[in-house]
Amino acid sequence: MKNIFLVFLSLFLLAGCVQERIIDEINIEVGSAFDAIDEENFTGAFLIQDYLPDKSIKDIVYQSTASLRRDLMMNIQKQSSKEIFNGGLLITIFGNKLADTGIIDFVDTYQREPSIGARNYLATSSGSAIDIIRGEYGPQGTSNYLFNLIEHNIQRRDVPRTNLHIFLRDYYKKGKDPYLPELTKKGENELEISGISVFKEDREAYVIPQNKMFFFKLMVDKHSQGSFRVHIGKNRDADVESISSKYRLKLVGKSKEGANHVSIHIKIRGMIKEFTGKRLDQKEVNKIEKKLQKIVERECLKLLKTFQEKGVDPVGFGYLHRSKIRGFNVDNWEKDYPNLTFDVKCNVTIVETGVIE
Amino acid sequence: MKNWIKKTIGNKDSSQKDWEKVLEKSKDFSRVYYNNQKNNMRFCITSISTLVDEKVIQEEALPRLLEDEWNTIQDIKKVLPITDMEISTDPAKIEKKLLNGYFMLTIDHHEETFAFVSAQKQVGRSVSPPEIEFSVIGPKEAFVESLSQNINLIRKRLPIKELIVEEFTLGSLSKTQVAMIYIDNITNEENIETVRQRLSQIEFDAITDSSYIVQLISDNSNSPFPQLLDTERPDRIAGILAEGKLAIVVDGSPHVLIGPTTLIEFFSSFEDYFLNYFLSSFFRLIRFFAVLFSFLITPIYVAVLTYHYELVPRDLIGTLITSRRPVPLPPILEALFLELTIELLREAGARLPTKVGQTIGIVGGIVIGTASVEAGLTSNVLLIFVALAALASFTTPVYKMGNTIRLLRFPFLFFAQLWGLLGIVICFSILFTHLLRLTSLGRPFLAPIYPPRVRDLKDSFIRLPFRFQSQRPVFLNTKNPTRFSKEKASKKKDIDE
Amino acid sequence: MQEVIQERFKISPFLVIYMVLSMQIGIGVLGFQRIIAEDAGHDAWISVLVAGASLHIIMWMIYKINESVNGDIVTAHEFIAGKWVGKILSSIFIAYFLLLALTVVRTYVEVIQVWMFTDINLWWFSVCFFLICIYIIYGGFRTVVGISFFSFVFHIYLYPIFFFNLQYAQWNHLTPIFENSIKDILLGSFHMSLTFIGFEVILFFYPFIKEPQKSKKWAHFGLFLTTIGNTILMIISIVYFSKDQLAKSIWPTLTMWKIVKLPFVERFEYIGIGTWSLVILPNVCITIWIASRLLKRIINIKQKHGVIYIVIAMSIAINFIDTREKVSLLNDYTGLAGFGVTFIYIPLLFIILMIMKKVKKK
Repeated sequence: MKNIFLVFLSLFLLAGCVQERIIDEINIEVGSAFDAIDEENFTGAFLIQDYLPDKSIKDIVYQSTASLRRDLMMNIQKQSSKEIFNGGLLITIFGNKLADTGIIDFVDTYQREPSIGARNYLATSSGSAIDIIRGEYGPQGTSNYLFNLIEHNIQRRDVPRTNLHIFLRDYYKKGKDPYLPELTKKGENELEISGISVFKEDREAYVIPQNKMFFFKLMVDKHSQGSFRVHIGKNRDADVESISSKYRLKLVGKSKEGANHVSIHIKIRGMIKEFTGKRLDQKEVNKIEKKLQKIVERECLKLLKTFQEKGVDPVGFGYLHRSKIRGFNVDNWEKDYPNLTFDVKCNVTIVETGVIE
Repeated sequence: MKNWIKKTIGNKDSSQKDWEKVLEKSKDFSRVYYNNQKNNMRFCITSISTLVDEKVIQEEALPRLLEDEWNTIQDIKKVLPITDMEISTDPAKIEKKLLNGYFMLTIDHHEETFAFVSAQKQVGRSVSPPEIEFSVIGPKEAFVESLSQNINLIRKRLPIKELIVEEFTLGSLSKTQVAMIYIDNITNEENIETVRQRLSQIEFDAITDSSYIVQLISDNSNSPFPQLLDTERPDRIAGILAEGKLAIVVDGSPHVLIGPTTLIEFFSSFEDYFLNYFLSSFFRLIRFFAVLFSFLITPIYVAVLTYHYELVPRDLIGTLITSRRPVPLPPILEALFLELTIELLREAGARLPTKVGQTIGIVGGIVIGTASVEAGLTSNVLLIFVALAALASFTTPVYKMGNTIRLLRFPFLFFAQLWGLLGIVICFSILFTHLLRLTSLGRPFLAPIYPPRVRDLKDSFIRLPFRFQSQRPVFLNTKNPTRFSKEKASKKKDIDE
Repeated sequence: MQEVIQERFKISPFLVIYMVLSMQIGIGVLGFQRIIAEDAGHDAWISVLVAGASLHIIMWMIYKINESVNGDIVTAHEFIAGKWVGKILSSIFIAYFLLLALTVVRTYVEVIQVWMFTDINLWWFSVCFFLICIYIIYGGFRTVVGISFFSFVFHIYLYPIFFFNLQYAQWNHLTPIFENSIKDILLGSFHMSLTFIGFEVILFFYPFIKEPQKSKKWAHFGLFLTTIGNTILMIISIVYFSKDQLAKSIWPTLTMWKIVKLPFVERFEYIGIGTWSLVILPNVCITIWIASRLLKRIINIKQKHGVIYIVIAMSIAINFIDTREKVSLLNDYTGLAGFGVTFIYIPLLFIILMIMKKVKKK
């Protein structure tokens, strides 16, 4: 009896084993970038992080061309000395032209792959994505830099919340279009977030410019640490910070066919941190509030009209109709969208004005 | 008839001569003849000199025997001041009594009747502080090797008539005295009967320590988990007897056994009852987590580094990779190497005398550890984990459990290498099944977790204050489950009353 | 033939809740959302609720069946159909429970093959798993119940993890409520069967419960808990995924874990999947225990030997199910069988039993 047990045990060790992925014998892919060459082929680059003995990070980029992502992976494996695993993927950048032709094939692979998480960031670039990923941005490594860049801008600045999960969710939703941040290279090793790419299905249709990102975020996400500069007169500028905002979309009208009217209510609370004028009293504060209100309403309206012209719906008015009106057919939304009317109402409250008057 | 009498007398003679023949081979068998001064009666004192206390014979027995007037063996009772005396005609008892430190008194020409008088030499250490279960506060008395001393220590603490001491003589060669102690009106009859039955059925030759008894009466001797608790402290025994458990004292062993016991008991030190309940609950929880940590951390390290690189937090991954860079071995071999080194250190340290052992400990720990990291044989992260785990495995107050926990690590390592995290969960379920199936003297080993008895949880992972402990543990099925009256204990007064 | 079980092998009535809970929380919970949402859209949570509520009726019938013959279902079969036909009826259940055990193990191995280790050897893993089950069953019924208890206690930490998903909740996914037709909702309830079945095991271990009257409330409470749990899980899935996104995801529960990030683990799915092996362990153990016990009651094979035969049979059978489609088919068949037993056979048995009791009284 004991003998059988021992034989079993040794067989377990031999046959029951699974393929090892020892942490220092593999290459972990932390970022990838794709650029289009033509209709079918594209160049892809994988970013690998190597750790030197003094704990600093060395970035290695492998690049290859292919027509399918799987082929790309196989080609790149032929270049790498250690096997590449993509479980650590943090950021993926899609080049300008590629974003125009459609990115869903790539994103679909990410969905299918069990080792890729749902929290990684996707982004587009205004030029070549591979250029961005080949840049040197400091000692913490390219992928960490890119990841942290997007992350703190989402948490504190004007980029609305986005990641792989949100992109997929919005892509598959009928009546709402997905959006991603856009990156632009400013110099040799400098990068900035230059806008928000709004997609129609999976093609990039419009890029919201950098100075309008604040308003976009007001309508689709809530701010928690935004800031904005208000100009109320000559030499009187106020810097409103710690902005927290809430938004509500209200559907007016209940017709099943065609678009109705949507009313957007935005509530902003903020504090004044800087004021270049002389005295900041209640009258001035009220003026700042009113001015900010008007700016927000005006810009948001402009933005929405631009969306309507371009035929993209990132705010999700179509879905709003579907969720509020019983029996609404959202498949016709593309036709109904141009007929949508909307208005924006904003309410600003300044809570604090600092320690002096 | 005559023939029969002749035969029996002849047999008696031959049997007496038999034991004489065997005993005479030993140098310490002494036979001295004396003459009583009053009536010139010749009597003989037979004893085994290494077992009897010469002072007792010379100062207390002999003067009286030589000077006082006595004619028959029965008179001895009036003459000698020693109470432990037995008069018998049964030659079978000679061996037993002589070898227990009694001396035999026979009158010449009347050798069929003899008296056994106790004169045992008390050899052994006196009561000293406990070595293993040392506590900073609380009594510092520990059990010694002598059975009567130990029972004395217990009886002192529970001076009630219901404290019953039942004795057994076990071991064909060692003839060890084993005592079973319980409180009559509290302990469950079934438990008493189980122990009684098991003890009386023991077949062994030399029982020199209580741990032999443990292995002989255990429910499951294949299990690495001890099913009977052992302790050195009389105050712990007193507390446990009051709960309704049994104690087994073995002559020659300073460890007293307790049964039935549960897994939780192996993590509670008696100091818990001396400290405030809040502190002791906190320490108990720390012990539990320490134990879990000690047998899980190394397998988790192996599993994560071999199969699940995605689990490592982004910031930690750099540290881990750089620490493993120079190491040529896969994580499992690295872990095994370190674990075996620690075992070697422990074994070597245990064999050496104290002073040399301490040096080896320091040398081993610091020098070998640092050197192996620098040589690139192990990673420093793993070294920290293994060292911490080794430390953590000794937080259990019971030494036997500490050994078991150290052993548990190896199956987990095996499964971690086989199927990663999944393997660890599988091994965990095997461990749990084993514990579920284990019983201690027939009672489930995992009470009060399973079968879940919420009332007993008040003294398991945490210790609630004494005012909540008015009931005895449910799983023992005691006859008298109330310890003290709860109403009287918690009578509360209002503010400013 | 009544059988008398000694007191020391019986379990306290409170523990019945863990048997119900552990049998119901099995493989279905990992992927049921997609199937129900296919039928009932964003009203799928109503389907779950309806399915769960209907179970209480079945549970009531189960207890009535057991009480009226004061024994397990083998006794009930003999009562209504005589010795031999009754035995044949009972032996159908051996096949039913073997099917259940096989489905659970094979589906779980598939989850591992897709999510964790693509090259794990099916045979070795299932044999190891079955060996553990044998070890548990040899410890007696009490050990089996103990494992159910522990599996429940140890996996309960997974539920608060779903709060991470609530951060991404879009509550307008749920409105308007009742947009789908009643027919679709009920179709969804029908497909819930694979997830919900399992509690009928009470029929088979009734003689092992001390004071069975007291266990009724615990059994119903267990059903209630799983209904609420599954409904909440369905709601969270609906507000987290968009409709077509959910339709694409084969195991939505596991996909939901992809977004979890704890301070010391970056990716939570692996921990969840590992813990899930502990969740399905009692499922397999209880079913094998019942199957071997039925063998003992019907053909009088010692339970110790019966277990070994069953395990050997399943180890051979499991090798034939090697592709995704076959696993899917297996799940469908088991779901159908479960529905048949729970919603058709048990009420039938109940009615026949009640009638026969009245007849035999006369």
